Amino acid sequence: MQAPALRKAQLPAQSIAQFDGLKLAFPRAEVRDLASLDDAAGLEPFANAPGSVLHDGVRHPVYCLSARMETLSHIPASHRECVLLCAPWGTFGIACEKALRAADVPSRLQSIPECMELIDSPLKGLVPCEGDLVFLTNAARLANFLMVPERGLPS
Amino acid sequence: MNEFRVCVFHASPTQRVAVGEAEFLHLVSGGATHPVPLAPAHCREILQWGGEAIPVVDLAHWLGGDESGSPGDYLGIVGYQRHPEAPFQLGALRMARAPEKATVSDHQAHNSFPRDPLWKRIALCCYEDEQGAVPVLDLARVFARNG
Repeated sequence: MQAPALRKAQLPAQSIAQFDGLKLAFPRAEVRDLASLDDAAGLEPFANAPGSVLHDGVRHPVYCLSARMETLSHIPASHRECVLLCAPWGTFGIACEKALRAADVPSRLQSIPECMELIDSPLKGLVPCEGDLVFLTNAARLANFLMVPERGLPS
Repeated sequence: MNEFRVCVFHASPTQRVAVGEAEFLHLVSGGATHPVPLAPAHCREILQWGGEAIPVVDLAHWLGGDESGSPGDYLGIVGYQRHPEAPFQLGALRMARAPEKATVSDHQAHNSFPRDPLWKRIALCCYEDEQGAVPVLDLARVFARNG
């Protein structure tokens, strides 16, 4: 069913950020690193982001999202890990409770049902995984989503 | 006189709706759903059923129901086609109670929809029984982008 919306190939390796019950997967090729925010500097606002992370001597902004994909103006104490993403126009991080690398996922990529899909949503698909859903996105889509002013990105 | 079979359920405490009996596939009670971020408020849950991720539409919410009220416990799995050659697709409708079957005949046709303008967007037609007007859902429109 929904044949055009399904891809039967295995998903390539992903890195998954977990926060507040939401799991976001990014193509491994776009992930520069999985970092820790334990450093106090990680919670210092930087370039309109509520946190930052130092990587290879360069500081990058770290953004934080709720499970409803609302941008948060501070990073909760529970979010002490970070997926550092490489978008075409720069590097940024997403704070999360847990960041992990997943091997090839032996499951079908399914499209987001069209009645649920918003034009500017950064979510491009989902994968049922161990009784849960993992939503697929990528760095460019997420960066675009974060940069829309109406999103209320903290200033 | 033409007759057709429908499944009738409450979309809200005061509004009943119907789908074609052949479109109604299965009833799930207490099914666990997964929230989908950024989805429209009336359609923000996914049910995993038979290996498929099925969108769940809450008509009560779409009709402006009280958000603080508990959602219906039942999920009616429905199948539909966008056009006769299109593949079947699945969706789920949240219901407060299990649906009932009914037979409707031509003379029950009702010329106007209930007052909410939503019905003109998502209903095929409307019939009337002793309890009032019942819109018959056009499922392809219910599960279309932007309803």
